[in-house]
Amino acid sequence: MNATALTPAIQAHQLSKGYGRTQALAPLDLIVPRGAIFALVGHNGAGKTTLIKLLMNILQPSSGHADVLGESSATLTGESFTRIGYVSENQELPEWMTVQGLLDFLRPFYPTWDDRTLIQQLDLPLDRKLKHLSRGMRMKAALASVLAFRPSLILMDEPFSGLDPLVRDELIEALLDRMQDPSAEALGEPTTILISSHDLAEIESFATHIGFLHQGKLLFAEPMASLNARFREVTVTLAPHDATQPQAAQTQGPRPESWLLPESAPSVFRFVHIHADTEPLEEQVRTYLPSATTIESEPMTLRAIFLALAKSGRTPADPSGSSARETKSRKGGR
Amino acid sequence: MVQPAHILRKDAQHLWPELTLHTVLLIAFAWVVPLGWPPHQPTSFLFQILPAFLHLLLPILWLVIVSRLVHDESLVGDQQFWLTRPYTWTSLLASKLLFLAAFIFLPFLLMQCYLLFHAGLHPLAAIPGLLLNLLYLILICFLPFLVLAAVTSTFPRLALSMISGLIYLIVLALLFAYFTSGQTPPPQALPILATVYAVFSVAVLLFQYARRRILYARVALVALPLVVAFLLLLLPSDQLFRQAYPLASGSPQVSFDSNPAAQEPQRGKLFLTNDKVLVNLPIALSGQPTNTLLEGRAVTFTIDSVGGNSQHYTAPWQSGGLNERVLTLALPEDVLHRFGDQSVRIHVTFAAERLARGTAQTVTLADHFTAPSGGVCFMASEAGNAVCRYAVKDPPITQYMGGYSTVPCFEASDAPNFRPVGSGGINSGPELFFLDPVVQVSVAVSNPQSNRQNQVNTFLCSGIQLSFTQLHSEAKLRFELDVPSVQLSHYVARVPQMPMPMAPQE
Repeated sequence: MNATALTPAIQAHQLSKGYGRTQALAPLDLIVPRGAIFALVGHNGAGKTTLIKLLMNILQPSSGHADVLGESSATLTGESFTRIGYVSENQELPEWMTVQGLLDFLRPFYPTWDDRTLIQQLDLPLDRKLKHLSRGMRMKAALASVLAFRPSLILMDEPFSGLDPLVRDELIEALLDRMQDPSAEALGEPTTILISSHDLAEIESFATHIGFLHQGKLLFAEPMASLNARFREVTVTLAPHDATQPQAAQTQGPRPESWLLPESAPSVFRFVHIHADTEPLEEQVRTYLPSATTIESEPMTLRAIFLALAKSGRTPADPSGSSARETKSRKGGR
Repeated sequence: MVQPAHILRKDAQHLWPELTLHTVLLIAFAWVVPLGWPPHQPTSFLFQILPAFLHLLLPILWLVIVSRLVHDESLVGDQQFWLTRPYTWTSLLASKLLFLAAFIFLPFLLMQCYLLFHAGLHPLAAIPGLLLNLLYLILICFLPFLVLAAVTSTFPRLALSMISGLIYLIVLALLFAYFTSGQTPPPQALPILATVYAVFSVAVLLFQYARRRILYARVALVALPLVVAFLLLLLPSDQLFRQAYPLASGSPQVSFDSNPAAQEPQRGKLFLTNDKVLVNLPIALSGQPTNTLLEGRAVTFTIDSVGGNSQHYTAPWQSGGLNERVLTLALPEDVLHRFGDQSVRIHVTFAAERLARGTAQTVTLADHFTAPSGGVCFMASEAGNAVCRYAVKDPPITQYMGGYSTVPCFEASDAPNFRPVGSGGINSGPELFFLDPVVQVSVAVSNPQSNRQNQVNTFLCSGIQLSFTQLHSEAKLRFELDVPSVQLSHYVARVPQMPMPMAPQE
């Protein structure tokens, strides 16, 4: 393993961006390992685009710094962009060019350019001007213009927004093909992808890491497997004779902090467990609900996890169980 | 070099409609402008206004092209495609400058060469002048266009910035003129301020391309005219004038002419110019070398009251001053009234340029003839004068003298025996940039005895001999003149009183 493989693809420390009194991005720390497909999720206006633009040196940070492929993001320019690709839904492309013209124009800028397979794979209409392309086709052309130079890092800002499922699948397939490119692995520099989206379902299938931005704050960033392992939707069936008793009478002691959104019905108790991988689920349930008869624990979709977090206002990485709102107020009070 | 050339090729592909239009305009310019050269008189109204229209249209098209060129890789905004591509700012800027050089400046120079050739002048001999003209054009026209395009994202914003900038400059100039009323800047001011402007503008352009800090660049641009204005105010004017015009030692000597006959008439209203009264001090020049003459450039003076109440006035450096045998001093009307009829002491410092007459060169007028300094001339018989064409700039100051006919040439049967002698002159104008490189100078003589009552027609015809004498700057000199006691009111210029018309009797 060489030195580049050891350093993260992206490493940000207390990176923030403000516009006057408006804090677009609160100071955040972030590490994106090499070879990861890092999904940056959050609602519109959460700060995803700002973060990506800071990493690409399109915007200058108000504080903090970030290293991208081992280079300070503030100095990224010229040569650096032969290793870093950027695709955005809002990017202004040279609309007057044809697809072929765009690829021909870009080719001499990159020593590693190869667009032969991409044109076929993405079925690009080479003789059409970019301004005459549909949104999906434009995004395909933009992606082709990035994948063609085999970048070590690809940053994508809402690339799938508003695309039909077919085009979306084509783009994802092209991306994943790029991830499995043996030539990149042979060079010891696996491709890293950072992709922002507010559509959770589309990224769930291929993201390896996930970060959640909410109102300019990075609530958490961790591997997908870890997130999936931690979150469980738990359904507890209670003994029938207890069904006539009020709920309060069925529980003993304080409810564990790692249980979110508790719902109780006469014979059923449901909740979301955010540390199901580390805490003894059955023991906790038996202690808190002595009348429990069966305990069912189901994995959750990304969408379900985020809905649960949004409803409860908690951050899943917060072991103390304190709410996101509390965290916010603590930071604001400094 | 590969990257600039690559971007240049892309820009040429993109902007071919604008470049085609530019070529068409240059061709139209080269075709239309000579139609307005003397002795041609365009008969159609269209051809009368077309040259002026093209003079306006060409800079507007340049503004559009610069906008399209720079905004193709806009430096303003955060959604541009090129920001995340391996462009280097030096390559990007170099490609834009190369584009202008290849597709704007070169065709423009070629068009100017064609016009010179068409005018009968030698284009190659004028290349240094054309390049200097191009430099002025770049500094005055293209540099502001480029800098403003670098801090805007679209043509409408650029155009709005241009208009706002012009209004800002006009307001600033008016304020400056108000606070420095009548003051003439020292001769070094223009090069100093032009250098400050050019260096500052280029620095903003480079900074913007290198760092893309819009706010800083815009603030710097707004500050630039203020910096220039403050510099102009802070320049040690007196010191610079004295440095540029060393004190004249020996001859010629200047003295006050106290002859009462040289005083101004005492009747009539004060002659005011720019709210100032003019004091014409008669002087006598002695010991002036032959074949030289003095041209006044600037003057400053102090006035002190002699005797009782101590009054003092110091005038700023003002233009002109010396006019043949008179030193003209402009001072505010209230200053004149302050000193009233009392005797005052005036100390005048004036800067002048001594011009030396060269060897006279006699030219016999013909349908086509050549004049000194490469002038290509021809007779404009109907107008009764000759027209000389020069490449790029006016010739040096020239005096000429020769015969003339008192009747139109086609009626003059006594040629070539033109007896009367007339004279005229060509004044060298300031060097500014221009689109038409052919300078037209009219050569006409007038009779020195001709006046309102006794007007004499003068016509230049083929066969007449004119003697051209060019004047060259020999030295810049400063003179000090002290007049210990004089009454200002005796030398104040007045509007002569006209006799009152008699009222008709009923």
